[in-house]
Amino acid sequence: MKRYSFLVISAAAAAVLCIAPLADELTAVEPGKAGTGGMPYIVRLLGESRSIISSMMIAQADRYFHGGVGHMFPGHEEECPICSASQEEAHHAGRPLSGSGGVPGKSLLFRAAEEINVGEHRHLQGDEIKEMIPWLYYAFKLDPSNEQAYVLAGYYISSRLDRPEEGLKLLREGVKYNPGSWKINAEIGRIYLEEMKDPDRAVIYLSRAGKFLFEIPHDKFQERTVLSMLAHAYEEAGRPSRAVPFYRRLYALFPDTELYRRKAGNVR
Amino acid sequence: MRVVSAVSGVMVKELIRKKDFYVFLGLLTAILGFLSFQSFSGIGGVSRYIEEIGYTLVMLFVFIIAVTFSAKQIPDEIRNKTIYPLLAKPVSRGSLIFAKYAGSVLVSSLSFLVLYCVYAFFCINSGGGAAPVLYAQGLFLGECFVLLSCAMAMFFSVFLTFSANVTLSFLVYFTFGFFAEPIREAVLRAEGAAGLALSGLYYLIPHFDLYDIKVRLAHSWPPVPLWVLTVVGVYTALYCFLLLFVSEKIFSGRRL
Repeated sequence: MKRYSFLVISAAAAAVLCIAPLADELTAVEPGKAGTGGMPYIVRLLGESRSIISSMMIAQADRYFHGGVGHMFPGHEEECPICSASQEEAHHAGRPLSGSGGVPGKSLLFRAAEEINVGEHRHLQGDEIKEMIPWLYYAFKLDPSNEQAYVLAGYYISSRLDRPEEGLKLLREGVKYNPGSWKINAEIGRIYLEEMKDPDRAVIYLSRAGKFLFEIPHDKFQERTVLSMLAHAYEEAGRPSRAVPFYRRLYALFPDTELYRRKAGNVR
Repeated sequence: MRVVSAVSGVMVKELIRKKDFYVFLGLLTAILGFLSFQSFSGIGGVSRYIEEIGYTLVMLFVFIIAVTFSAKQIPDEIRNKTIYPLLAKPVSRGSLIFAKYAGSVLVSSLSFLVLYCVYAFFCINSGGGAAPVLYAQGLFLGECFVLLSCAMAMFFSVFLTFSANVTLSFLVYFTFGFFAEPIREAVLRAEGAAGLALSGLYYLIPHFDLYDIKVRLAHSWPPVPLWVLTVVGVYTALYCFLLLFVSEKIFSGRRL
């Protein structure tokens, strides 16, 4: 009976080990994605849970960016996550020792627990940025369909660690798994434009990003991200007339922006 | 005292003889070694994630050793009926509990010391920037953690079977370890009778979060103030004393 149970359990485990990656391959493919075929077996075995783990790793990278402390303070939730533009030097004050509830006069044990948990946070600066790269690296290795992981890793490696070639290399890997991603193409375009000073190549990737963006529902801010860089790339490439239609579109989207009005020419 | 040293000696021999510790030592070395040699898009010299993962693993492995060693002491003696010759000697039940506890602490502390040294070696080797005083504080808090873990498992062992004890210990560890912050926030927010009840509950549960300084170690934050270490030390001593005292009372009243 014991041997029989062992055989049943072994057979079930073997079946799961064989079927799980196969099922993942069949169910995980989305339009515009390259599928899971090229992933290591162990990663495919995780199935859809890998996207959750991958997102957790981005959150962990964000925590590392803030000196190991999460976004726990009121008013800080959306101020400076790693995926936002505001990454200036910061050293935020800690919470009051009595906790966010603001109850004064708690015991020594409460205060000791508050002291042990770091109550303030700071942003990584300079070469320290490399400390968050492992989490971003594992985030996209674990779930290659996680575009945000590629974009963040590409940005930090190329712009904050001054390794644009390395950043481009992994973003191209991202394109392989996400051929229809406007975000990754836009980031490649940005690196060519800002870091590599190669506006002609930037135009190619940003045009591609724009094409992919217009194929899906999007908001005007996403449109601005791509079109402003594309218009700028045309100007840098010595073809300012090609930039005008994009500035007109940007002016239509954001009529209060003086720069777009001026660049769009005589359009009102 | 002779009882304590005799029981502790047997337990240390058991640690050396059994494979548990070697497995954890090998696993820790392999994982930290693997992480140390990782390169991310040509970026080397990354140390903080090694320090954080390493510290978490050390604490987890030590907790497993502490709980499994402490949890089986009394139930094994009862099951093998070796408790009778032991108690036939002029040894009180309280002394037996204390001797078993001291043995568990010794075994777990030795394991912790070795694992912590391996961890510190990898941290320093990978360029970790934590101050030596933080490593020393980690050692002290880790030792307090061992004392509390062994006391908790010893307390459960006087009325639970080995497997139930291990399950409950892990449940307590993970629940109060992971949710320490939300629990504290809930206690601080609660008012009136609910606040009083939650405060009582807060002091009743074991606070494993007090021994966790991995964020300070990994991210090079300043060391913990001395008064905090004193509070944690006193808290650990009181909590362990209370657990062992109640264990002795329960075990003394138990029919074997």
